[in-house]
Amino acid sequence: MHIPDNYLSPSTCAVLGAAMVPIWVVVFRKVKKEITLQKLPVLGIFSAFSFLIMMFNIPLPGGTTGHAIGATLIAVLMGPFVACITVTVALLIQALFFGDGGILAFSVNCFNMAFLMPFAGYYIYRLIKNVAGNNKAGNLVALFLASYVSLNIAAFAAAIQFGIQPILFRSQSGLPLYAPYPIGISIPAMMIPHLLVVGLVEALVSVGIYSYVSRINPEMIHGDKPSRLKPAYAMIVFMVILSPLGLLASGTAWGEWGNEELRKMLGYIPIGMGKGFSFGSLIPGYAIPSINNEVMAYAISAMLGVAIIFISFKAIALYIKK
Amino acid sequence: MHDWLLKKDEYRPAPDRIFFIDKSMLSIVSRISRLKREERSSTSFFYTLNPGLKFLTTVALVIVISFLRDFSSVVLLFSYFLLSLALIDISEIKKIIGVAVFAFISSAVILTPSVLMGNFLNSLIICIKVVSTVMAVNIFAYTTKNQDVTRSIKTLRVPDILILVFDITIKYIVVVGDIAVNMLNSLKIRSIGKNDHKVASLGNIIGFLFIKSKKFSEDIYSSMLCRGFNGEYTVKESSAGFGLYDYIYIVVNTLLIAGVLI
Amino acid sequence: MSALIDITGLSFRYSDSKALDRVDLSIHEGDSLAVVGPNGSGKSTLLKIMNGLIFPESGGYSFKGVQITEKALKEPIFSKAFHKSIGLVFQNSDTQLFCPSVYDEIAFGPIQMGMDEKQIEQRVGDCLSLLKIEHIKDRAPYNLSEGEKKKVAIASVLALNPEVLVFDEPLNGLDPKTKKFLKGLMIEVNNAGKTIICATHDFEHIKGVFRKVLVLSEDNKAVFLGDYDKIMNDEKFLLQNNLK
Repeated sequence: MHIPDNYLSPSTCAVLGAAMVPIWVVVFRKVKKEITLQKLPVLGIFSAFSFLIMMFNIPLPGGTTGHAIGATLIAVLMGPFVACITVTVALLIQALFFGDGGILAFSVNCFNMAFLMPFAGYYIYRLIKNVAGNNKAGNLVALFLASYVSLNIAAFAAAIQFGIQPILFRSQSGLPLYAPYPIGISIPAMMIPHLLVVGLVEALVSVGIYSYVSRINPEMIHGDKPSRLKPAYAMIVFMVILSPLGLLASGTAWGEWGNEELRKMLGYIPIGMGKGFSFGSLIPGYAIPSINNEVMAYAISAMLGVAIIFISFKAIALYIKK
Repeated sequence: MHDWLLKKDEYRPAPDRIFFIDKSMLSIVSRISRLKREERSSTSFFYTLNPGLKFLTTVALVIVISFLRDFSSVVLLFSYFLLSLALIDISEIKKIIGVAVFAFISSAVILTPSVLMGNFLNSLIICIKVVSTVMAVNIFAYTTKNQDVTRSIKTLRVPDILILVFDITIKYIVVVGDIAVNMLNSLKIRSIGKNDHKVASLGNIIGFLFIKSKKFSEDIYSSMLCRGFNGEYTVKESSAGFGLYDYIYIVVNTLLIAGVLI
Repeated sequence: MSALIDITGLSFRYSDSKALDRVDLSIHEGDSLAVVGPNGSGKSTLLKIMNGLIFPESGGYSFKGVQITEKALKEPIFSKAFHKSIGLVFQNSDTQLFCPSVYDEIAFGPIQMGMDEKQIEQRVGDCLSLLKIEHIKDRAPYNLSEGEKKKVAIASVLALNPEVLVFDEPLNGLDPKTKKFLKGLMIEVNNAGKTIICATHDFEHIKGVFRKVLVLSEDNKAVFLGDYDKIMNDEKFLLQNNLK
């Protein structure tokens, strides 16, 4: 899932980079508070651990192998904030020393694998655990599902990042400049292998490691202190899942694509996701059709999309509180 | 002594695939040997450049190339990277070409359907861009010492304390990676039959690495404390100043970037 | 003269097992003491307590007449002064070396002490030459052999110029030449007036280096404290305590 450079437009990378910077700042501050600065060797070592997890090849049926990312596992073992930093460092070392994943696309890879995945995974884990109860089987089931779902969320985000490229960035002759496949193709192309295989690898590896550690040294697992799952956290999970959709929806509203083509493309999207797109249809009324600069248009639509999602969820949160 | 210890076993192993062990070992070994590589200081052009300058220039070139749309500029930058590649040591040229060819083939495979749909030129541009970026990053990585690589991100205003985290990470990839390889070796030589719980075996190894890592981090914390660590860490600015090569490098790259952008 | 290190009735247990049982010990300035005992007798625990990394469950530990407690070490100025006066060379060098190069490793302590560039360079250079490792000063610590790593670890502690040097199994797994060199170094450091303390399970390592011996038994008690010469010929005692 390491996206290399030049498949995504620089502006896509810039938008997600702009999203990652405040996330990194918040996460680093939080970690600084949680574990004193003097304990920061923990971050270094677990970045190394996170790097190494990705090196293990897991046997798959049919004789091939695949590897896990481990972000959800680290989030459950060490807390999501530590996971965010350690996966970021691991990805940076892969990009700088080994050229795995692009330099520009680093921010996108971090968004998917160091932010979406550990946070979504962690809160899904807590959510399921709250339902399933705090016993061994409940833990393992929760971790299995959280790893599986969060990996697919990250893959889905990548699919959308690929898929919006041909919608937004085309040469004057109308041919795509970056990743050429629209979401109608990129989503099934990414999701089928992740749903069927890679997600299972991730889940099995997480459960395997977790059960070993909990058997040998249960006190090493991240404390269960913040077990109260605030509604706000659930909101964050949903927001995080939906924000790429928001980006897409706002993007297509502006897009150069004819309506018919758009509809044809949307036909590929599973019906359940139709809802996510429905508020995209709200935007054309506000769209500014005369923007010719694609970078600016992209940034505007991205900001609008995120803003709308944020505001609507805050409204929902307010409503729930009442 | 038990009876069975005194007899020889009649044993015929069941067939089983265990190449995932070799594959895991290979990927770990290749990574750690790369990080362990002996840091000889070659005196040829690329090795002596100021690391921070080299890093910023590489990033700038990667950004510039991603914005380019016109075929001839992309090819110009590609040739420039090929020329840069020609200036480094042959053992490393071989490795980088290997990586670049792999990048080219995988992009070509991904883009074939698009080419068949009539999008030839843009697909070719993407392929060349991917290969160029891979070359650029690898030239930087191969000609820069590990410690200078982590240090060069200081030019992006990354806090010193995080650079300490990177340094620790590099080191423990090697240390914990060595342990991992030993454990995989022991799994391999004990895999003498059919192991129906391969994922569980790997889970145990990685789980053990987790526990080991946790203990390591506690010990390093202690040892830092014993040596008076107070939460502050200053990364020395790279001692290398700017030499003649650096100025040549700045001029060439400025001209190049200006050339393709205008 | 009052003792530099004074330990009385010290006990410690990890969550599931006893590690030290009512140990008494006093060490004077310039002493050279070996702590010997079989595996699991509590040697490393004792060294960790001496270095203020863990704290006794009962009994007291005072360093230069000041009680070392968790609370006392919470005070940053005192804590730094304490850690500067007593240095620990860890058993596993890998846990001690975390800087990108040997030079940085040795300079780490002096930098923390706020020395200026010139003094740091001087001190690091001296440590490098004392350990005869000038030729590896630019290499990364994880690329070194075990013997070289150990030397770097020792240099990095020496650079703090502590009054007490504590070694945890310093000679384990090293080749005879390196062992001989390090033994010579310990003697030299001790002659220079530093107090040296060393934990080992190999009685052979002590000869000619350490004048005093503390023997810990398998059940974590101190069974002997006195001169090396007195005990080295007591075959029966050595066998009884799994030292020979």
